[in-house]
Amino acid sequence: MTAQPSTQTRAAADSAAKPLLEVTDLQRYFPFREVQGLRMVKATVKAVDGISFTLRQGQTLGLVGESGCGKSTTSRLVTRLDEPTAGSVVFEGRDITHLKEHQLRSIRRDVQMIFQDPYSSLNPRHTIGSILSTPLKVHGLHKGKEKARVQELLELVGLNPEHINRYPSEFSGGQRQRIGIARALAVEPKLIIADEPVSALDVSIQAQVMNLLGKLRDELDLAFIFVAHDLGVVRHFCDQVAVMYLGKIVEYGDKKKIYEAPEHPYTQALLSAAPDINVARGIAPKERIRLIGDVPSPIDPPSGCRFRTRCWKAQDICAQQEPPLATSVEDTTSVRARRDRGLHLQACHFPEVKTTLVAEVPAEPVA
Amino acid sequence: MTATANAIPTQAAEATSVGDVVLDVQDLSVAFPTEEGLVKAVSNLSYQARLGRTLAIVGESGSGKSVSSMAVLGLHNPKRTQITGSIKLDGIELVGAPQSTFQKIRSTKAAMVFQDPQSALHPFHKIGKQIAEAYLAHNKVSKAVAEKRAIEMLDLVGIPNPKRRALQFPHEFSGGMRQRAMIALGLVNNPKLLIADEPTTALDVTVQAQILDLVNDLQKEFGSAVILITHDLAVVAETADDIVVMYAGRGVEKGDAKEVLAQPSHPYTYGLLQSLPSHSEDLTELKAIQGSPPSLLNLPPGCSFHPRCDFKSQVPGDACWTELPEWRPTPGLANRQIRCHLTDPVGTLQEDEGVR
Amino acid sequence: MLTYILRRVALALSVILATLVSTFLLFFAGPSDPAQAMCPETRCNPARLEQITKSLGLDKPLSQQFLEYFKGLFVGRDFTYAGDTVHCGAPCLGYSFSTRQSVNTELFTRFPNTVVLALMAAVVFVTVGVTLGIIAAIRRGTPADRGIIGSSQTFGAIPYYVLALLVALYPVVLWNILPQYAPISAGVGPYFLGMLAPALILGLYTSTSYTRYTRNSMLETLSMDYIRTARSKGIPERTVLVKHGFRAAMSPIVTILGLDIAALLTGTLITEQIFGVDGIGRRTLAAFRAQDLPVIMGSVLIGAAVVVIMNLVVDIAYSFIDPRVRLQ
Repeated sequence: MTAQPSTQTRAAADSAAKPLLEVTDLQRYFPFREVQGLRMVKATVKAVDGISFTLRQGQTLGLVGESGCGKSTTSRLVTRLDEPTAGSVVFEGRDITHLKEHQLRSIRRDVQMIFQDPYSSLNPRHTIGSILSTPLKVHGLHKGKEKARVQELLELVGLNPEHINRYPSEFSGGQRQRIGIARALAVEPKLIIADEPVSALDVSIQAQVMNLLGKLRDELDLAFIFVAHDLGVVRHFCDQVAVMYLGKIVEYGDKKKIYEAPEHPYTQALLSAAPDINVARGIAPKERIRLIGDVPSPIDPPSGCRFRTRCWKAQDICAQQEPPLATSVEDTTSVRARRDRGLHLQACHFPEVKTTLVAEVPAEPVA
Repeated sequence: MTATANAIPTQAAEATSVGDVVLDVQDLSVAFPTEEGLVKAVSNLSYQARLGRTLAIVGESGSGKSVSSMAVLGLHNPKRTQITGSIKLDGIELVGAPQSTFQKIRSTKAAMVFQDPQSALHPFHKIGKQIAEAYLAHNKVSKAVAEKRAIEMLDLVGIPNPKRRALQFPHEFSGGMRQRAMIALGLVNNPKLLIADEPTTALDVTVQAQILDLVNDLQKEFGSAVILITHDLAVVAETADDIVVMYAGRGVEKGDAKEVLAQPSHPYTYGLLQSLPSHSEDLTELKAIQGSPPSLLNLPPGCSFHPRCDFKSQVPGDACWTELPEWRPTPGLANRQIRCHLTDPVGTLQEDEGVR
Repeated sequence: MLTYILRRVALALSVILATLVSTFLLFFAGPSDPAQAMCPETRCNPARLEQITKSLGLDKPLSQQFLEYFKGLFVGRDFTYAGDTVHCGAPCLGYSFSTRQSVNTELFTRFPNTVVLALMAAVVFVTVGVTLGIIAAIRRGTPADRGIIGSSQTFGAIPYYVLALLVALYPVVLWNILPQYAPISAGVGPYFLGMLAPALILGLYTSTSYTRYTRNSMLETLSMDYIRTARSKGIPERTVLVKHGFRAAMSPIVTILGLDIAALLTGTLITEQIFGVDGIGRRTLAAFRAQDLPVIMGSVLIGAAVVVIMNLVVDIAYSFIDPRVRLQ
């Protein structure tokens, strides 16, 4: 190739830089005691059990999974609202896994959260102005010019800056969620954890808020961890997707890979279970994989692969060996090709690999 | 299968075969007087539910979709609700009917499955007893027979070990199992109409699929009419036969469910479909409907949707601002009705889709 | 369940012990000198004071005094008074400084009077309060509701001792409609009739808060989804209210009830004083005046035990009402 670096390779070089967030083998166990007959038994809820991922500036990672899979716990661990039992969280090269509250000050500024419920997450007794200026004061930002900044924020999220003295109850659900977003943005964070940010909103409002988040992400170059159960919303918003089941990531990769060629049976079941609007346009409904039963208890998860109790592919090995989260393609391609292909990992002994995807990538000798 | 203890005098023919109208709602209005004024939750709503078919009532929160069906079972406090119009359930007029009538038709002719099975089941009573209670209320049988019936129903809705499960409390059930139990409770007296109010909204997606499949299977088996109240258009596409789209207490479009979703002819329906992420998955921006729904205390004059409508400029004059559009057949589409002033709604919306 | 109760009992014992130690320390930390209080004013001299101090055992170090007291609770102890040695069997609460009577006798002969008063009052406030509360909830917004809530608020706003004094004065003393307090020795009939006036006023006054608790709890329950489900079954409204509404509405009331009964058992002091009921509250008041440490310690012990036991009873009762609550 020529000496002139293309935009693509520059982007690749940037993304190869130091990641914003590195999560390694993260665990969160909740110990509790239970009375069984006359004995007290110590038990543990393994809410998050060894997950790893990295996130770079401007990237968006979607965490999907059903209730109890550990996606919300993960977001609390990453923001250090909760302390991990084991593993590490490294933010901008700094290990924040076990920092004390007073040491977390800068992290509290760089990492912000947007919550699900726009009703309970805003203090009803405070005006919007006070809700939005508090984080500024706490972090000593825009001293003396807080009001101007608050108005700027309101404008940024599409609210009337004149409403600075109103109370949360005077706003609709969608507007409140905008206030929640403005609050998160007030301190100019680098990473935003959005925990089901649109699931409490109506469809038409949901689209408005999604658009706002997308616009802000692009304008401010924010990284997002987007926790959601709505697969359509995640597909629209995220670049990378991690599918979680019982405290583990079972599949991880580029959005396109996950949605178009899922390799893990659970991902396949999850995607096939979501009803499809296109059925109305005469497109035949996809073959629905019917999962039997419920998610097992995280107190005593199944041995080996955690999904095996509901999996139609399960064999003896699934009970004996835990499948690692790994790529299913034998890696004969170049580093460059692998990067272009995008990362795609899954944790299954019998993954469904669509070989066509590999063939699309021209093999290149390793440089 | 069931013997209704008290025969109810009927004013019209009972629905007996597939396609017969079980529920005929005509010009129904429901309003709640409050200190701030009259909340017009439902205005002039009309629809029919037919045996063997699923009618979807679709709308956002506050559109009145649940309020109208609660009126069918008389679940609004009569002292604090103004109901006018007509609700005929299997020939029985229910608007203005005494509590005794409602008591007889509840569970026997129409039953309801609610959104959150966690709060809809009594936390202090055993599942089996809760189901048996509904059977006992309408059948002259012993408690033992009713409890046996409850176990049969739990078995029917796919709860393993129904005998043991009947003796458990709701908190010992998972979310999906609770919703199955709710459905068992709804069907215990073999009603002709099952109203499912957001039955899967509180459930995970794999469980949602199980529950929707179950409702479909049971409908085929019992041949009853189902009203599915939901905000999820994808669920409608996969399960409903007919649809009524509601906005701010009024129906705005009705017709065949799949046809409406494939080719909406009301700007609101069109806007809802456009705003779905699945509709524009590779676009950076979703096509949102601007603004937010109006207050039911103070509905805008004319068409309630006009403040949010992108097409009002294409209607000559100021009809959208001043005149409430009446139901009319959509020009160019069979079996479709809308409340909209657009002269050529189909063409207008198609053109817009092409432009975007 | 059994382990739960055993654990709770162990916890209860430590709570009671802590209460005893702190009462003991507070007593001596204060400006109290029981010997001075007992020393007859006219003939008091240092020698006599010392003698009294010694006879009360107050000359020993605090820790030893407490250990002896504590030992008495479990194995009994011997007292030497005026040359005689008296054995006080476990659980020995000691002897009153002022009356030289056994505290056990002093308190346990009076405690039943307090129990009878408290329980009679409880019957009154539960029946009246809960009934009115339920009527108000069911008839919400009607004149009946407003009447009940209005009158209970008015009644509850009057200071209790004023009401109690008025009742003791007019119907009991002046008009003779209600009989005066009579000890049990006067016969069972007169005894219970005499309890009627104090129990009624105490019960009615307490019932005002129960009316409000019950109304709120019932209204909250009636707005629950499961009540809507019950209605949608086609069962009579009465059944909905009683079988589905009432029990759920009562579960929070049980907690308050348990604590209120415990409070009454340890302190119907004003009522006892005004109506002359010879109960434990009145005796404790007298003990405080006389700086009578053993009696104070005894009533604190009984009070702590009552509170702890009622808490346990409430928790167990709760687990029977609400199947979601598991004792652990």
